[in-house]
Amino acid sequence: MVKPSPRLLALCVPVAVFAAIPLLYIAFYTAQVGWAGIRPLVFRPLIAELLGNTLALCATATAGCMVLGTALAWLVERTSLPGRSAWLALLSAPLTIPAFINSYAWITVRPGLHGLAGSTLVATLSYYPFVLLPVAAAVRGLDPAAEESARSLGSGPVAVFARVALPRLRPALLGGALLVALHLLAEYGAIEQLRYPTFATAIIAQYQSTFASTAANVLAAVLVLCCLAFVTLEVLVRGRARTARLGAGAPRPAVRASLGPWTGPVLLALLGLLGLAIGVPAYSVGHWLTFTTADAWAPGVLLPTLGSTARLGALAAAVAVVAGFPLAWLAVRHRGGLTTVLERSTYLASAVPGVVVGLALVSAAIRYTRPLYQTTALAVAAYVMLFLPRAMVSLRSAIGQAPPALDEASRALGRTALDTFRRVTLPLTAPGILAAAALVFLAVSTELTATLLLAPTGTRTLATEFWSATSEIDYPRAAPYAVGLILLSVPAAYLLLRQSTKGTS
Amino acid sequence: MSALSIRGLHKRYGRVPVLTGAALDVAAGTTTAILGPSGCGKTTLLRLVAGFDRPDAGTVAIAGREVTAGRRGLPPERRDIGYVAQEGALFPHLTVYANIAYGLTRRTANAKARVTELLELVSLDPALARRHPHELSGGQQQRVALARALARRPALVLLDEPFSSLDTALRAATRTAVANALRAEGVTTLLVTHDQAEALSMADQVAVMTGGTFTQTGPARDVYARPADLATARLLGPGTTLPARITAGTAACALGPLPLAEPRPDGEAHVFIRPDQLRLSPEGTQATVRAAEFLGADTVLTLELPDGSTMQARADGTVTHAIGTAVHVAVTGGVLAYPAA
Repeated sequence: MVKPSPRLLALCVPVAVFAAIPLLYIAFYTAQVGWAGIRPLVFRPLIAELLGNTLALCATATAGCMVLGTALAWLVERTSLPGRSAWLALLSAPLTIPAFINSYAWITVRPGLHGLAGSTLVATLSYYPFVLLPVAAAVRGLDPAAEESARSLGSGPVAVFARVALPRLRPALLGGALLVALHLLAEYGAIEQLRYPTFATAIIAQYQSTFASTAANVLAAVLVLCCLAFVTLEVLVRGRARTARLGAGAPRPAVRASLGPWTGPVLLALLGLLGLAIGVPAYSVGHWLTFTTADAWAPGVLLPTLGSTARLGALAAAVAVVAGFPLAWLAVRHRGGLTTVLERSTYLASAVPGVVVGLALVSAAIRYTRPLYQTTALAVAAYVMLFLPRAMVSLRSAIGQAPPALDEASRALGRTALDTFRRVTLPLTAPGILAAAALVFLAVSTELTATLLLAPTGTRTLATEFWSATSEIDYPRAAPYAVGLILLSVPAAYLLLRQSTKGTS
Repeated sequence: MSALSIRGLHKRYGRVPVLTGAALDVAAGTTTAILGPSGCGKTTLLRLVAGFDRPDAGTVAIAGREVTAGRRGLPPERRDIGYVAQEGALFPHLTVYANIAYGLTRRTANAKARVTELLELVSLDPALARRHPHELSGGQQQRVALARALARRPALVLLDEPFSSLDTALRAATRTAVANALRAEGVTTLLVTHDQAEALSMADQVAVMTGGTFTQTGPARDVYARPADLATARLLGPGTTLPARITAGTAACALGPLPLAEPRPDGEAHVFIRPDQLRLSPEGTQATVRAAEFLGADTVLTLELPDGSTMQARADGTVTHAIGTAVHVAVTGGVLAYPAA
């Protein structure tokens, strides 16, 4: 492996450091306030209650997603369920419904819903596809020969699942669970509507009453510790057996378990689940749309919102792709200790909730770069910090499509490095670059908390307008924005679905 | 003047020395095969010649021009080389035609005719020009890769184990097509391989590499007939090694006194006997059949001598040799001998 050139490192190190700013700021701030300043703010009943609430929700909803996601993955991939590829797409459809729209929908049909039970219900229905997709892909990649060997060695079907299949699904299952847990730590909109106080909602409440105060920043620091604890826990539980990759040669497809007389009940149960996860939001949004007054549909109201949403999304997508490309290149082409640290630093920073990134940037901007405060640039910076890893995943696989052997072949054919990039690398990586840009664009379009904290005053995005309407209990006015947000999420969900079905098929 | 001249080439990756002073000359219009076990540094040498990596020390001159001069050396695109990678490295987003025409510039007159000519040269149907690389078999891909490398009429063609990813049947056919194309173009070729049959059949000159330097260089026949050491002898084909004592030009070993292929000083030695030198014959040493592998025309017998040493011999495929039967084995021709370490 050729050593990365200093020029490439000069492009990558600033991006990695930039992505780590929120973490560095929180650490620096906490150190500056000192133990004496932190203690009274941390060791108080409120924090204990928030911690209890947050962990309780993480436990219940993550467990729900793990059970539901794994069971569905097995049903879709390993049973005689009719129309299985359609089912995988249908069951992934909740990805198109942002959680805060889901809770808006559930409050519509069950106005009394609130607290831990309500939050668990909404969060599980919104986030189980994060477990379903990776586990389904892993089940597809399992070599049935291992399970058949176990059967021949005397294990029953349940024992085979527990002793042979499950251990090999563990990396996918834990990865999905970590994603759900991190989303739950960050979730603000859905949980605020269900009146269940967690760290994320408390930070925003604190911010709204005392701005970027020490109290808000200390709450953020505790939330960051929770994130780091989850990430560490996942690494520890996952253990060393990380790669579930098979050797060369495609495994024979597995024999599907026949559902027999259970086919009908299982189909009914799946339809029921879809009714809860998609039917309820569809019904509620449709319901409120019938009450939506004509002035909410006025082009003068909707179009500027769409325009500013698209502008923020496009800016962030462009910056994320340009900043992420050298890092992804480094990670694929120059594997090594330093490059792994650089790449991981971007992931770690993005595990931090949007509310923390937002707060850190507001606080840092006010203290050190006052002119940046309340500018689009700062909002775009936050989006890049939050969504850089989504771009990185696509960019990395894109760069993998252009192996170094092709560069060398082109150079040997008399083309300069620049010419080679233009004629070989770019055409081969273009689809992945576009996918990366699309993923960031869509994530920004539906982002709520960082936008609330950072967007310049007067900026209206679909998410903030939806939020301000629901905060005023003006549900009919919120409905058109909900439709816009769902439509914007469809392509991202499709890309995620395709990404998870591509690798192993 | 040599088309390629390598002097004192050194390269290390981290703390691992890969090349330790390799030197080689390739005459214009000839083919040289670098033969060596995997990990001996032969691919690294090829990459340094191509300019994909820089040597720590030493020089490479292509057609009399030193390409390693300066801090970075001449970039690959200005070295006037053609390069065929292990699995072809065709551009997946371009058709066969566009792949072959990739290196041709707008100034190249009649690019289309050149591509057709190249397809014919590598024995491929011109109709394949419209296909994409994934629609071709592995052997066809390798031929397209060669056509692409030859398109600019380079001074030197580098082949990096070009047939190793092909299965046995395809390998022979592709090898013949590639060898014919190279001969027709009269281009100087450097071939890297660990397959002795490939090296011996394609190359005018064989350069044996072990541990980062060339241990023996010469015409293919000479190297096969007189390997410089035991490791090289084994690299060039299977055989049996027996301890022996040399006195006055004769090696005394478990197979009796044997004549030497080359004069050697008296003393303890190892003799190396190829399977085709061993014949079943009534006058030979007695041995016991331990295994018989029927291959059609021949049977390869594993024989055990009274002293316990085993060896493989080729025998007529029409005769059945039961395991455990006694046979007599004799050696034809002089044997190779190397002083015992």
